[in-house]
Amino acid sequence: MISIGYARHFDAAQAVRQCAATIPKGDARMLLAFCGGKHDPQAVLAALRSEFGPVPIVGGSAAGALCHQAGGYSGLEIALAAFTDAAMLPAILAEPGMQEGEQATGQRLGARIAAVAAPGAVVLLLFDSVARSAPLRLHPASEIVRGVTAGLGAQTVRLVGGGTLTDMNLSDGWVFDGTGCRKHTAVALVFPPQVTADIAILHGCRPVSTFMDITRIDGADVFELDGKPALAVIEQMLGLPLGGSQGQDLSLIATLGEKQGDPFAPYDESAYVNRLILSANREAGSITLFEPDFARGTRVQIMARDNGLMLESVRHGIANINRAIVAERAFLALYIDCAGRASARSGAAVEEADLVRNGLPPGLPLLGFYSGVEVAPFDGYSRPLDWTGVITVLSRTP
Amino acid sequence: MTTHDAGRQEQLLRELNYYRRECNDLGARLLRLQEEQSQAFREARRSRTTARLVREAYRLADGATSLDAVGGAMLDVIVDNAMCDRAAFLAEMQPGSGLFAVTHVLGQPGEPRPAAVRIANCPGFFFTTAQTRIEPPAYELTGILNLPYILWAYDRASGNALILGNRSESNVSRPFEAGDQELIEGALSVYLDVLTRKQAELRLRRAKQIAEESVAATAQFLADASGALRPPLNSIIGCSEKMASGSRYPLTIEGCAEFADRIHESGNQVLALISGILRYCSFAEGTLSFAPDWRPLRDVLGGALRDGASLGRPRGVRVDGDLAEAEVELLVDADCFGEALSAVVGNAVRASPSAGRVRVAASLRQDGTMEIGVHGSADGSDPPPDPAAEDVAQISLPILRAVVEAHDGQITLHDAPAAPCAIIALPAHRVRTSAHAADDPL
Repeated sequence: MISIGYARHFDAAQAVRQCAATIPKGDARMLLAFCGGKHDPQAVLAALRSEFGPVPIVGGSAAGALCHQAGGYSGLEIALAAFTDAAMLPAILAEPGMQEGEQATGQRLGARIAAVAAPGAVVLLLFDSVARSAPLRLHPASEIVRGVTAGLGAQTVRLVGGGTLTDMNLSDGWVFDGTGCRKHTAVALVFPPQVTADIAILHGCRPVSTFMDITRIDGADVFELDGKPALAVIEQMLGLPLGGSQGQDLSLIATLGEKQGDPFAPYDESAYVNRLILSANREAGSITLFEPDFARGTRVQIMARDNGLMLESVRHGIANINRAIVAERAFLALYIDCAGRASARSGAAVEEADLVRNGLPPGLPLLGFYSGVEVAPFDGYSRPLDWTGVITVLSRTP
Repeated sequence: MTTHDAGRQEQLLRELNYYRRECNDLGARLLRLQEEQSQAFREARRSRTTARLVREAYRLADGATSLDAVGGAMLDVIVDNAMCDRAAFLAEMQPGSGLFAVTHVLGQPGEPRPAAVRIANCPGFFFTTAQTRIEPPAYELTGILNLPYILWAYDRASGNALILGNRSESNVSRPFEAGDQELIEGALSVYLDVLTRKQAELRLRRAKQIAEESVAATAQFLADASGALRPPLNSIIGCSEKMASGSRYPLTIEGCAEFADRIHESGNQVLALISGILRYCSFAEGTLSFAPDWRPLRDVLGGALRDGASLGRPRGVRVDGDLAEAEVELLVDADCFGEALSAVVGNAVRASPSAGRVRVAASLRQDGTMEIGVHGSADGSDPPPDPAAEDVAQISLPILRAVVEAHDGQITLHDAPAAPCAIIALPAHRVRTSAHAADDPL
């Protein structure tokens, strides 16, 4: 039903040929493809069409990719899932125009999803994360998801997804929308009602401060925490000044977390929505978050990445999902992994993706990619998450 | 609120502030410890980069099938280990010229590869950071990968260079520094080493292949030579026995003349074969003296056509020449190449049925190469009578091939029964038109 191909090669055509070698010829009806950002997407598309013919190709760039057998983030990986069962094929909806407005694009896409989706349908949302590289601006996932939610109206779906990147330095991103390679485009794969999803969100951040109120914020730019310049607060916590380009290093170190529910309930990693810090502005004393969805008055805590906790969370999440799935019905595990969790960035001694690769049942096809942001149902509705890994196991209904 | 309650509340507030301060201090220390640990791991990972790179690079030397494949695979290893955005190998076009060709590049999807890069006063090692002024050589070097932050190493002795590039100095990347000299020079050195090893390996493979082919060809040649010498020698022995004193064969004057003719013809055949064997040995030993000269195509083919016609006449085999390219000249050793052509035409005549036809056609191709085709024909009244014809063709082949290859050409044999043919191709530098002869003296 699903065949997986994976390869790493400096030549895109060769990489695709190696992928195709493990996929039965002529069986593919749709390809979900993630491709390292050092490859030319047009060369990858041409190679895929040469190997698989005129099947729809969805997916996009990836800071890295993985399957059961291997994984990496050199930018030269290509990972494919070939869908062969017509009954499990999703409808492919693509909505361009994010550069004119992410929320409006999301809303148009949401309306189209509502028109074709069964209630509770599983929807995979993919979009290119980088709107502009210099100066860096991301397509905020929170606005896209807010738009999709508005467009869905009364319709309810299980929305999971991620933003695509070409590398870990947030240089660029693009998507395959079923017909070609696109920028500023959101793509939704709406699965038929006989497909269900078990989802596990893997965390790894721990609060290292008391609660602070955001007292001044404009979009994603946080100017003040508890009435003090936000950058100064962060620097005080780190014990070192951050200057110039070092501001980006913050995304490797700390996040701001908003605790859901009772703030004084015992620590529960799954109670936090974390926002990575994209950059710092010394003149303004501000920090810029990945998403503009915090507001004045939002109570946050400074969160530290905890590599030990991250690995523990992966083990725990994998165990939960393995208990939840029925082996005979599960047909694809999709792992959307925040690029910041890769060992090269997090400094973890163990690749947490390796725990996922080795922890899921070997017979269950696994496709994963390193993303800029993850989207998953959390606390009752789907929202963007930072510094998480989202495992989604698709199954057939009995 | 009583004084006691107020005091209690103040105490609680102090206590709360105390715990808040302690919590934040502990959190800050935890954060720093976490970051130091991560930083230490990332540094350890980087310090292992060179060792890992060397290990993986030597491994790929065994897998790469060609010299060109080594470059791409090596960049793959470098990019994966150094975690850089782009990388390229360059080769200096002329030693010391400062003009480089980009031989391999990785991480520039959709961007054209620069055809050539000029780097005046090319440094052996160089890197750029945010503080580097964009002036030579930073200007030229950053232009190669079109990235602001580069790390460069150049091996003056071999003329090879390696460049790594990053878009930014933050996140996974970090600023390049002087300490990276070990990494970049190590990577370049390993590449050159792997390249040398691969070159040596390919040379050895080729030499082995040539040696094996030579041994096989020699064995085949000796077998063919033995087989080819036997019929004319049998003919000489048979005829001379009949003519010998004491022979009981009823010898007539006409018969005696016919036997003498046969002995003569067979003797010539043996002599030709021995000449061929000697020539083959000269080729094998590399001692054949060669005197190429520009000769008109008409002259070169003329002798072969005449010999072929003479050979075919007794059986009515016609030999036609299509010399459309009469103005062409060939740079060949006239004797050696002429003999080879005669042998090809002679073989075609011998293989033709009686009253058959052999066509010799020369054509000048658009790329300046020359093709000489000797086409046999199956049309005719009887099959070829000479059972040794095939043997002669067999024995001639190694000699023919050696002669043609000595002229930088190739010979291809097509033994389709309906239309057997041999094609000799000569490269453009051995072909010219007579009009250019005056401009292009030997």
